[in-house]
Amino acid sequence: MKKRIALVGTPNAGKTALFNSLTRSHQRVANYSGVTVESAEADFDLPDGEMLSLVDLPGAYSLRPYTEEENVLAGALKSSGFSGMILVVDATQPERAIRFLLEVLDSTDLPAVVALNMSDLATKRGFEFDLVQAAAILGVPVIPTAAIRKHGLSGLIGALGVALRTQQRKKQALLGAPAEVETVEQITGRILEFYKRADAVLKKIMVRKGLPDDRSRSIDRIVLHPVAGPLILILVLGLVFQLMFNLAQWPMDLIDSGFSAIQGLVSESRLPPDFKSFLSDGIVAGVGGTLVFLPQILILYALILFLEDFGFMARAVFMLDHLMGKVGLHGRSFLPLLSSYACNVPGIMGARTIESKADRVITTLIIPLTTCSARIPVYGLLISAFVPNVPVLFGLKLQGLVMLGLYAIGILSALLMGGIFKRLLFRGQRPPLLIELPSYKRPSLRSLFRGLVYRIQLFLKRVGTVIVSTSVVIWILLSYPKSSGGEGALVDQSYAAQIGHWIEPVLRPIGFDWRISMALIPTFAAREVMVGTLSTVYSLQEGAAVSDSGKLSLLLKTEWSLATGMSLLVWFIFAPMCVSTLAAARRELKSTRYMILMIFYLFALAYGGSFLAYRAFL
Amino acid sequence: MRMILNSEPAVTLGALQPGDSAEITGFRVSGEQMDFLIRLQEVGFIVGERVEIIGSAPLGKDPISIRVKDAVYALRRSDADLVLVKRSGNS
Repeated sequence: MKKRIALVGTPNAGKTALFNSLTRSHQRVANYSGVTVESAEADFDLPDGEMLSLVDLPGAYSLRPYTEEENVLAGALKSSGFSGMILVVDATQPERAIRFLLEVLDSTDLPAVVALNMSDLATKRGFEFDLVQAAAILGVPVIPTAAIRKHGLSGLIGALGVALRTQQRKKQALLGAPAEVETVEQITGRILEFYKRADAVLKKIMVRKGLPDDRSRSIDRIVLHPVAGPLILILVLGLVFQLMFNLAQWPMDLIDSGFSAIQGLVSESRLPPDFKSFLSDGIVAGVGGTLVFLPQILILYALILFLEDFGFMARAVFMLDHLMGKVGLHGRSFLPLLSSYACNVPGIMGARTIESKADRVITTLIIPLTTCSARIPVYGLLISAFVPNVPVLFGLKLQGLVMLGLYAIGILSALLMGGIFKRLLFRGQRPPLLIELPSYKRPSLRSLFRGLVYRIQLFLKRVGTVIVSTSVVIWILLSYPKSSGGEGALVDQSYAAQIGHWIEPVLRPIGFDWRISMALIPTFAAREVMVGTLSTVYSLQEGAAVSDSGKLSLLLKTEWSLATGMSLLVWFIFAPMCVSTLAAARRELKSTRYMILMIFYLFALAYGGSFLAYRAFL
Repeated sequence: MRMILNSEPAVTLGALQPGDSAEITGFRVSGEQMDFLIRLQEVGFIVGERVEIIGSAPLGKDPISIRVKDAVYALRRSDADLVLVKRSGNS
């Protein structure tokens, strides 16, 4: 069994950068039972050749958990799963870091080494450390590192190897083990005592010659300027969306044609027809339909990670908190909401960084209203079929404006529903905001890349299982029972068609006939499948393939009324047509009731909105 | 409660303006906010500590950013009002 080493540190101490520099590039997702926070895990070698596994535990300010992520750290350190730990200390913020270090050393007896990280920056800012003295006082080796520049890493690993073999530490618990139930005075006393000890330790091991770093302050004068600040924020967000859509186009086309080629191979193969259809229309279509959005997700994530590493995202939260507070949202909700524009699933997973339950629940509930990219093909098809592309204002065309309007309706209704949920579910609560504005750093490309790979792994793991199983169910609904009349009659008599007929009376008032009702069923696997299903249904009806979307949109224009088209467009803004999103919400909130609430309110909005649109255009 | 240490007319952290410096003298305590109060102390807002208001958000001048122990944190004014301070200088 490989020994596991815990990587422990405060947020922004460069813990993940150290993880990326120390380990081989192949990483796994480490799960802990009962919690929803995953950590990255990867291998590295000791000088003597022994292979160890390093686990990048979530950052924390204290072992007394305040957030879900800190809970994971506290739990992991109490478990017996680790043979040693690397404690990452931010050398530019020694007081707070040493307090946390003392707290951790005091509460475990694992062999430990300290990585005094960002020591290059600390030296520049005039901090000088006496490392020999530090090691003597703390009882563990202290190695200066600069994770991003890969300085001090071999020294750190060497010291860890020695510590694992020879270090004997006792749980000091100088202040006594924390009681199960402590009074505030006891807890406060403990905090103050650790700060006092940190102070005493620092007096012996550190001299400070320089002044605090003013570079971040100067940057903040511009980034947080009353006028320039909001403008920069709007500009950055605009640029993020622009890049997401423009850069992703080419790889998306490539993935799309790749999966079409696979479908072609399957249909030419000598497999039994049923199995061929299962592979091609079930699995490949379902998986391909989701993977096609991977480039957008990747680009959006890369940009978010870059801005986060740089230190901009904390500033965005700082600037937006007041505005979001007006509708009952928390500044912290900004990042999950932004991530959900590529795909709602990673957005919901991102909501776990929000400390308070109320804000986490509200944010998760409204995320499905943000316009994920899976809606774009459907919007595109319906807009090109029913909206004339006439110029309106300043050369802007109506089709583009309608698209923009759909985005706007999405975000406005999200804000509105957020306010309503706040009043209905969590009345009167305004959870506090405490967020560090870290000093600006130049993002490291390597860290960016690794972070990207890690998040994509998480996403594929989640979506993979749900998409594949849902695709199978939907394929069965569309393909069975077998009809006697040959290929042509297949879809019309399928279970899906029966369900379509069955739910038609309900959807009739909003202008959907049984064909549309039926085509809605597979969209539960992935919204964009709607386009494919409609072309299948109408191919069968017309007796000729309606493969390209141009033909399909012409056909829809003649088959449907304008009112039906508009109604369906509105339906796709609101309706909870994505099983992966619902599953992610249920898992993250550990609650089926919230998921049902989500389904219910989204269907209610969809039905109401579509009804209004249908009546307005009839 | 015992944690309120000063008897002078209280100035709260949330009432300070960018450029102000102050020393933390105590806390205003209410039951629900206990966890938050503990967290504030864990990140460095402890009695006797010097703080400096760095700036405020462009919209509504709220939240404010505060330097304490070499780190800068953003706090809403209403949350910062839990912290009682003695003004020690302004620009």
